[in-house]
Amino acid sequence: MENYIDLINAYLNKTLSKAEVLSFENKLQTDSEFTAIYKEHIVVLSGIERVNLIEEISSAKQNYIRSKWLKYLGISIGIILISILAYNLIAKSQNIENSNPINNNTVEFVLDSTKTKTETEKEVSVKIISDTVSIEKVISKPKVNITSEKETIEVIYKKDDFEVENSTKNNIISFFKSVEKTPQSISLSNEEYFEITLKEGTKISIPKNAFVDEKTGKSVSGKIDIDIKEYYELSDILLANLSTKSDDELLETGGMLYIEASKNGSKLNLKPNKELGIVFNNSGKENMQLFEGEKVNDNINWVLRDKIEVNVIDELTGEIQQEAEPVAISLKSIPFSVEDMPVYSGCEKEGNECTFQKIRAHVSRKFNTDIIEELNITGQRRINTIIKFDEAGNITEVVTSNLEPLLRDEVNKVLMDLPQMIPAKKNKKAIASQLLFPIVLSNGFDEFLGVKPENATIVLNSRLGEVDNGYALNSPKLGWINCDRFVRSKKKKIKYKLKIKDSEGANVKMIFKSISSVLPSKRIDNQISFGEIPIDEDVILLAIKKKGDKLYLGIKDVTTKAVSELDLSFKEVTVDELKNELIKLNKTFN
Amino acid sequence: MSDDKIMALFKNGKRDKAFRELYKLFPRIEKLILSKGGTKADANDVFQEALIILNRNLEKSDFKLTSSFYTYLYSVSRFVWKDTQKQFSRQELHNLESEDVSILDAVLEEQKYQLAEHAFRKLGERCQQLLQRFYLKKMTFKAIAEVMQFKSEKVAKNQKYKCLQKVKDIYRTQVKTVQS
Repeated sequence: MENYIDLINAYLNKTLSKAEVLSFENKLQTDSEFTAIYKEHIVVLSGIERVNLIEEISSAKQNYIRSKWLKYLGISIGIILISILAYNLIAKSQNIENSNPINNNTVEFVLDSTKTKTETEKEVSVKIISDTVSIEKVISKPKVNITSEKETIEVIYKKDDFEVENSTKNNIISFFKSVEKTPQSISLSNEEYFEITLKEGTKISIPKNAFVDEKTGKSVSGKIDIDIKEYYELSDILLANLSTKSDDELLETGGMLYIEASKNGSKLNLKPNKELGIVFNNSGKENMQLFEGEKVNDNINWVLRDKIEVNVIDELTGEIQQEAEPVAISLKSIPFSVEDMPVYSGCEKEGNECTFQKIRAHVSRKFNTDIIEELNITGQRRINTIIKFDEAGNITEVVTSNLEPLLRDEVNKVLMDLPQMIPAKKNKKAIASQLLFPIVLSNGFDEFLGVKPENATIVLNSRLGEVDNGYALNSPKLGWINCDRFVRSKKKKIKYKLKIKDSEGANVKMIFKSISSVLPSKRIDNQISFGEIPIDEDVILLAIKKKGDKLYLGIKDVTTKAVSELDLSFKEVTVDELKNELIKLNKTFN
Repeated sequence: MSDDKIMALFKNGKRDKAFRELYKLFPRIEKLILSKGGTKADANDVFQEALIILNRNLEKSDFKLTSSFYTYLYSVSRFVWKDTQKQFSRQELHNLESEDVSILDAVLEEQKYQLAEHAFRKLGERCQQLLQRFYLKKMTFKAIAEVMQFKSEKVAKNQKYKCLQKVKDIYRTQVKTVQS
């Protein structure tokens, strides 16, 4: 054994003769025991090397940090020097001006068109030249001050505006606070898998050891508390000041939740690789997806989960990452293996890669790439599409998110045109399925459209729900969670803005009768604006305001078309009356 | 500093300077790890690992850096992080591109070395010094015996062999616990 080690050392140090090297390498190929020893030796040596490398790297890091600080230090010293120079100069120039009688041999220096200076002796004048440079700096300094003053003034103005608006707003916000739904509290042990059906039918499952402390990031153990609020009824949604909007797009909701976890009062988060299983108590609508809510100025904005991830990556690298986490999805909730994917006919024996390639080829052939130029897409843009298949392998629908109409229509057209596939199977039974298919648009001169051929575009994703028994979705986050789909309407859209009498400080919302959507409004000048909405929709305008201690409610059925002013009669209500009025509206949902 | 110049630093044995240059890329990698739910300390570890892997590959004669240092370190960091989080799905592993495969390979290989490193750190100080002097500084047993005050060359050599066997033993037990 020891001999072996010596031999290996000699080999690595290249002190063996040619013949010895040959016999050594021959031994490596034939003697498996020797090979094992050799490999282990290499691993150990590499491990020892790591110790050194790590030392080197951390000293490099220290150096890097030091040089960064030195740079800042250098800049600060520079600033200090300039200040000293400037100070000296002011003192000096004042002296000179004071002590200088008018003289024939004057030399004039014009500075910044406002200041002139005189000097007598030539030698001195040379000095002035160097001084003038500094003077300019001195002069420019007050300028900076002036602008910054202006800025602060502006900021103050804005703040005032904000406060004025807020004081009336606060009234209504405090009202919403007062009618806040009480959460359902659950206690459970972090060490065990947990499942529960909530009062309004939401099913939640929590994996074991799912939580960490938000502040420390450390795992917690033992009993933890979970608070959940469910929002299915329109009245609950309205009373919580919720709405269903994702940036500028209208969403149709299948239920919203607010989930919080804590242990002994300190907030908990989900571990990065843990997800809550949620089945929303609602059904009948397809393409439901998971949205996460962010409160922006008291209004809630819903963000598509998958989309966030894609964006984060884009921002970081400035390029499209080929990291796709996209997907084949069974409508039967549990993610299934890739073998169960739909198959392009002709690819039966060759596997999934063949199917992807066929789909790619189809897309690149049929897609009208002029659109990319038309839409001025620069660089690369990645879009996600979901292709839905029924049990027979027919494509039933193509879902896209947030695309320009032109692009959306083209993507729809091309993907809907795919031939019938051999349906996805689970336990040998044909099932309906979905395929999340990313497409990268590029305006590069040779690469046009299409997914990179080597790109692993299809992975399992459990984030799209099943249709039959409520929407099953997995959430890796707590907080506001919404199960929605984008409202895709071919209807024309209009900018909907109107004036409502006496609506100062009122919270105005629009409820869509045909879909489960609630839109918030913004007050711009004296107008209430809902942004762009589909025309000729039957909606309910609902305004709640609070003046002093009194509560007012205004409700009106309208059809969306261009209007400028609307009469909405406010009537005074008690909190209970208001709740009853809103509960009456509940039947408009679902 | 351009990639070429950094490469030249590596080639001329000025590894410390090269590492220092590459640290300028750290903030961007840190962002990546933070965005994936890691902490600053995680980001540090991941980047350190990426540099080690980069260095190891550069020392291989058959390795060619086909992208920029940044792109390479970014990919490696991504893999290292995913691997520590055990976030690879079977499908992802199945559908890797050829370049990714070699990165993943390097990441997994480095894991073994990391275990060996931990094993090494468990040795006594003297054993550590002895092995470092012999394997890294390439000192002769004679020189080692002198510096470390062994009675003879032979004792130093014996001692070295014992230390080496000890690392290997620790390493093997670690591998077993990892696998079980």
